[in-house]
Amino acid sequence: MFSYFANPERFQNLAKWLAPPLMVLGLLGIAIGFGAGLFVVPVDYQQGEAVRMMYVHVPAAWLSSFAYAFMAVASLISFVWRHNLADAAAKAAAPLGAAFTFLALLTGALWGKPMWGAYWVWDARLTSMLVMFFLYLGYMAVRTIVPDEARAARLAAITAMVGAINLPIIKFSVDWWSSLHQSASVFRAGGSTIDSSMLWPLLVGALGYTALFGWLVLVQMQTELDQRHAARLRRRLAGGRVSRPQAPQRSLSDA
Amino acid sequence: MLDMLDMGKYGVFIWSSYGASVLVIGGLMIRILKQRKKAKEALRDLEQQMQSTSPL
Repeated sequence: MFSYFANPERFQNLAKWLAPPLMVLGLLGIAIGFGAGLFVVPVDYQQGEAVRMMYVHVPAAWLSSFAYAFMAVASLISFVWRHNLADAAAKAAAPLGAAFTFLALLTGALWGKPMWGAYWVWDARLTSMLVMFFLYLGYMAVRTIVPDEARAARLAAITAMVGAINLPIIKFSVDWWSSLHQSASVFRAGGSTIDSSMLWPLLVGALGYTALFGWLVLVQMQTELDQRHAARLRRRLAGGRVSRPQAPQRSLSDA
Repeated sequence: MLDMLDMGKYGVFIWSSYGASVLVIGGLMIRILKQRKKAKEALRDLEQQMQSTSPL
């Protein structure tokens, strides 16, 4: 299956077909999630109006972990099978994941202040999310700093794969350590503890965030492929020789 | 209408968290779409240049 989509032309066709519905689904889902979160959802019996912050915080936090898992799997595929498109996917996901992790941290702080009395505490959930933010930045830094694109891709892939250890830590941090952060209340054994009148906008919003992420990854991958193609054409124009269509990937041993 | 926008004592936190989310998501979309347009144009220019220099 991976090799089927390794063909850039086939990918471009798929992206052209898939991008518009993802964009519509993303924007619609977010608009409904935000609108309902602000104006439709009933006031919580404990949190009052502050519960409305759940609809910007939780989807961003879910997506930031999902984006990391996506980036780590894409990195694995690119590392093991030297799959160029998987590398482009991981590279596209990194800044998006970083932005959504930033949003999760920021909206979490804004929710924490009125509910816990503090913008920030060095609690396991918050700290592991901050670590993920730095992992994203580290991944992006490797891709920017290492001049050789092929080597940058391999080093960044290793960074992403090693950092994946943080994902179960984030998920289970609220169970493993005593935390101010509440434990899982949607995806838990025994079903959600949130009333359906408050749950549906959360799920619609999360679906919207995920679809928007998918759309932006596709668009960014197309940009990346165009840039790589342009770089090849430039080399050809400069040197007058035909370069290999894919940059050769060197092993780490010559680092 | 104004009643609906008034979130009581949590208003500042609610509106700033929604505002930040809209700003970040909107900013991401604008940035990515701009880059897409730029890359497309650069590639088109190069392809035209290729055609004019080496008619294969």
